[in-house]
Amino acid sequence: MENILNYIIAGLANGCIYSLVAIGFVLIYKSSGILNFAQGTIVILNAFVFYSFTIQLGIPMVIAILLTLAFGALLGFVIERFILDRLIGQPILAVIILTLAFSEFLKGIMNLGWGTDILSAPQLFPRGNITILNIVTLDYSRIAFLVITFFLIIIFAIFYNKTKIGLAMKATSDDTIAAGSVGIRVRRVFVVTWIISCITAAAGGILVTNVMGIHIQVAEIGFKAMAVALVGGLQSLPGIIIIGPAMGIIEFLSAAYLDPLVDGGMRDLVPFIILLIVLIFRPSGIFGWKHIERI
Amino acid sequence: MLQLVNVEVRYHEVILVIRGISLEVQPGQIVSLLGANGAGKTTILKAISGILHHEDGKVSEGFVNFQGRRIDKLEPYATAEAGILHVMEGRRIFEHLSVEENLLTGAIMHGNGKTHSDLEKVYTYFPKLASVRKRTAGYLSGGEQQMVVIGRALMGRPKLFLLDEPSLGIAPLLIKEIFDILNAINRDEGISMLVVEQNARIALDFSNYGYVLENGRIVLDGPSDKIKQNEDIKEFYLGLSELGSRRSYKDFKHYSRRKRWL
Ligand SMILES: Nc1ncnc2c1ncn2[C@@H]1O[C@H](COP(=O)(O)OP(=O)(O)OP(=O)(O)O)[C@@H](O)[C@H]1O
Ligand SMILES: [Mg+2]
Repeated sequence: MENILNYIIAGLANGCIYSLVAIGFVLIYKSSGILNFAQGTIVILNAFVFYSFTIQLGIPMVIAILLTLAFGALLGFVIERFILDRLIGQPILAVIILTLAFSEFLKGIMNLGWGTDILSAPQLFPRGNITILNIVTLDYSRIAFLVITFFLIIIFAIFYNKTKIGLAMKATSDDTIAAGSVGIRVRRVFVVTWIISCITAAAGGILVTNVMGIHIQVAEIGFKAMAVALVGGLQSLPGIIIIGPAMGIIEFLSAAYLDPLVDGGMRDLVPFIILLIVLIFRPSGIFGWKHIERI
Repeated sequence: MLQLVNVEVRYHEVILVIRGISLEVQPGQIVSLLGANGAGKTTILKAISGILHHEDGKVSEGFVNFQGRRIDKLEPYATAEAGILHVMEGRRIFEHLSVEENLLTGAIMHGNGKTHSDLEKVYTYFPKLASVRKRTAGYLSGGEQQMVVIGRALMGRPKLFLLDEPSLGIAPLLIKEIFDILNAINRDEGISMLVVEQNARIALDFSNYGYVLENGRIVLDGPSDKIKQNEDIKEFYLGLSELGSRRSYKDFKHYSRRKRWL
């Protein structure tokens, strides 16, 4: 009983990060139809940059965090303005393939820059844990994950639902041409979308490497986030916010209870089995848009 | 305020769709553009608003002027900022947004404090929208959706409306209602309008001046009353013969061969 609760909480904390990364992924998909296969690589790249700022350059933690988020924003801007801009008018598939190529390119850069060893991330939160009512033991970093991702998602939700830029993003994702026709600067919306997406990736990178260590394999989180996005429904932000934690919990439970039975590996497999099942029965995801059809 | 001078439009650099037309809209005027399917009516509106650029189309000869400024190279957002609001064919609402959110998107480009009073103004012209303001726009009826896109354009405080077949697929009674409201908007807000219609009767009743387009050329233009009196227009677009009765299909075919030189 104690154990299962611990797994659930740990899964929940990790799953929140999936949601965070998936939000960035989905925003890009919604606004432009691009599936960004580089999302996971961007997550880990930001974590490496954070490592350099803190461990290598000795910049104080808070400033390093802000600098890393700023780096994420800059990266988003550069990708949209200088790479995707050249591909306007090309088939969307070409752009998707380009994100794959870009991902490999970044991996090469990271190998050159930071090597292939697992680096240990700077310690963000004090070590230790608290036990609640003798039932659940929570370590501080898990609590911090939950609180921080919760706040980031709230901030994002307010931005998306209450600001003009958020409204412009929603309109653009519904009908790009119509958005332009009412005076929305669609190109600017794309840039903002990429910037937000890369900032969420940076936040995710800083957090997740705190428990996983920093190495290129962490880029796999991009695929987990993609699975979360597809199960939730590619257009549904609320769906993603719900599915992320659910996926995290399922993942940790399968690691705890299934892995011993089959010599491991279930932890990474189960999310994709779920994805498969969901896609077979509900191709547009659990909370996905059904195309509005009025006849 | 709007002039097209010898405008030629090509898609994909080669397909010549508009073959040198000149057209003008005066301040406060309602101008209609008539023509059969594929004549190039929508293309002309796209050339004015800049949506052409998104379809690999281009003004290859001539130019488009709006208030003394050349606009045929501008993106849609820029022509919108200049005061030209294009209400596109087929009611392009943001279907997952609410009615009110749809209207608010029209005000994004202005970004100052008058949004609220603009919204109230739209609800005054379209009282029906006020009662469905929280509804998801995709589920509205066709007529309501048409009101949403006109209201959304009105939120952009336009000087000129480009209206592409606002009557398409809407019940006759509602068509009348919508055109009455457009008339009121023209009168009270002083917004000029260039309206494309296949329904010539509605368009000529609504407008002050008309152009008739065939195969990318203007074959007739004049005050709407005059155009209504034109015998060929009566026959071909209004479906009336000299005697005021419908012609048989056989005559119709014969006529369409003859009408080329018109
Ligand atoms: N994107 C495009 N690429 C190539 N040809 C096009 C494109 N859009 C329109 N055309 C062609 O241009 C011609 C005029 O089209 P347009 O849509 O302007 O006609 P229309 O008068 O609005 O017709 P309708 O009454 O059916 O709406 C048609 O022959 C059409 O096939
Ligand atoms: Mg048309």
